[in-house]
Amino acid sequence: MTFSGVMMIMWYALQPWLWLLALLLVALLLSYGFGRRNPGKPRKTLWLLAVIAGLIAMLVAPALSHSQLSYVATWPDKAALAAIGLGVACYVALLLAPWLRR
Amino acid sequence: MNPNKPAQPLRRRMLKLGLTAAALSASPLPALAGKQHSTAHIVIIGVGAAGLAMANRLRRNVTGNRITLVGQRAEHHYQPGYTMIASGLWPEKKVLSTTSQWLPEGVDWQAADVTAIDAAQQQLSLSNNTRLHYDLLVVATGCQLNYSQIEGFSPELIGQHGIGSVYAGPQAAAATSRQIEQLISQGQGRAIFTLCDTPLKCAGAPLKMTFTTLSRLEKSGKRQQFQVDFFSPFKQRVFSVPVYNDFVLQRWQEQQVGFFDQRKLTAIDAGANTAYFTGADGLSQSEAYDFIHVVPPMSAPDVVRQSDLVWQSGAFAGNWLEVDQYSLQHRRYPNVFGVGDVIGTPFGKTAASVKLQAPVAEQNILAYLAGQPLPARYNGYTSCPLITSIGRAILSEFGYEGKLMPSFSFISPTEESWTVWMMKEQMLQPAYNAMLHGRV
Ligand SMILES: Cc1cc2nc3c(=O)[nH]c(=O)nc-3n(C[C@H](O)[C@H](O)[C@H](O)COP(=O)(O)OP(=O)(O)OC[C@H]3O[C@@H](n4cnc5c(N)ncnc54)[C@H](O)[C@@H]3O)c2cc1C
Repeated sequence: MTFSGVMMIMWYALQPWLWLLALLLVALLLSYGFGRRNPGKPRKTLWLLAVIAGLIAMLVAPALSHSQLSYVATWPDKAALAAIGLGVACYVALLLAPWLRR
Repeated sequence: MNPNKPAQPLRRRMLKLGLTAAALSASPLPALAGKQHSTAHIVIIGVGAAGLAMANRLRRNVTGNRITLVGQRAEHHYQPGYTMIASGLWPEKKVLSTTSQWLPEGVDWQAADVTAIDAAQQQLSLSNNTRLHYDLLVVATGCQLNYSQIEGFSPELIGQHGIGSVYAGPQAAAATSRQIEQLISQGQGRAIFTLCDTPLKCAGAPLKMTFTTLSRLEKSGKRQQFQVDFFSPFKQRVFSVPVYNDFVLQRWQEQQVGFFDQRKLTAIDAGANTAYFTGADGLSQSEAYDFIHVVPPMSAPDVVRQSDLVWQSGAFAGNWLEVDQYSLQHRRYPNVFGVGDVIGTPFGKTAASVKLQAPVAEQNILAYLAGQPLPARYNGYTSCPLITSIGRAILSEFGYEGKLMPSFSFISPTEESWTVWMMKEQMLQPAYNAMLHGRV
């Protein structure tokens, strides 16, 4: 399959979720609006919360797709699950960073 | 056109059609990459996956002509989702849309079915009592489900007396799921799964139904109380690609699924919950069931079978559209092309096949209109994520001669995987939608 074909399918797949993506973006922007007024280094709790959120996402992702964790077996499965965990952890870190500063 | 006469030289036929292809220059492929100007009336029969994909593609790339899409169905069904409905995972509404929402601008939609095809006169008779002349015809009528060939059976029985069939539509798929639920709530019983002896669309669907039902039985915690049997009309075969066939038979052995080969479902006594199978010896044998999954024999719709467009000899004779398996052009009527489930080719009855067939047919139609040799070839690509449990699947992709054709180097074509399940659950429908719009 061509790269442009994959991108086109991704675009069709994302269309029903654009509202959610927009919501996540708005949440991030609001958070940063607040954060700009609170400069300082992030607290350790931030990293802890981000890791916990990432781990929870990894645990529930198979169930949310009508599957189960034990079916995550091949290396692309593990990579996909890791990407989900990493994505959620990064988002949570970015979202909470302005709130959890010293 | 007299089919016994050799086809007229392409360029002469074109001039007759009044075609002024912008790409009449000598270079074959690059010229065809652009738009074609033509006055040929293109008629597409069928408003399913293949018909809509072709309408969108041709409308984008042929200018100056009339394109008519013929088909009565106002509701569009995403058929690959039927398995998800019948497995209790999706609601019916997830597979429903309207035909009109996929129609490109500039295509006339005749909301009527074709009742007769006169290939010699290049004319169609429609169910609204009109006639339609075509210069170029695309046949995309899909499969006909021949439930009536099973004595005592009619589609109305689906959802009653323990009878299910995923093929008959979204309601039937939902009714099938309810019958499976009922079986599970009985706490014990016998489930029979069947296979037809004709080519069929999504040949993996009967196997997927068996696997997802096994998952549901296992989840109920009472798997041991149920007898699950699969009846195949073929000898030691449930799938035509050996590697997948062997995998499935081996897995069923591990899952204690009884396998009965060379047994064709020929009759059902719904009231008595009894199915009749005819063996290789021609003898009929009765089997009692609490749930049965029926897979009907399939063919091209009667309108194609009764026309001169049907294969005249060979394995597909009388049942499927005669096309060259590579160019998708009719072998006797060069102004006729076929796409989708209707074509008589060794493989290619999935939506994923349509995704590959549509650009091939499009390129070859453009070349035909331009009087050039047909450049594109369909390699038999067929794909279906073979669900092996609810939650995991194998990405089976293959083509002519059963050759494996994996699309992604990082996904093994023989390994069960959650990623492939996610593809089936989340990505296949967007890919299908993009295909309908002619975008992939
Ligand atoms: C249960 C099930 C599971 C499947 N799973 C998968 C899967 O996982 N992956 C995959 O790739 N594919 C899958 N498929 C197969 C896929 O849905 C079909 O291959 C695809 O829809 C074929 O498209 P088509 O246009 O040829 O036929 P269809 O989509 O069936 O459309 C045919 C159209 O022609 C119309 N028509 C018929 N007769 C006439 C007439 N006389 N005049 C005018 N119009 C007519 C019909 O009304 C219909 O609109 C599955 C199918 C089923 C049923």
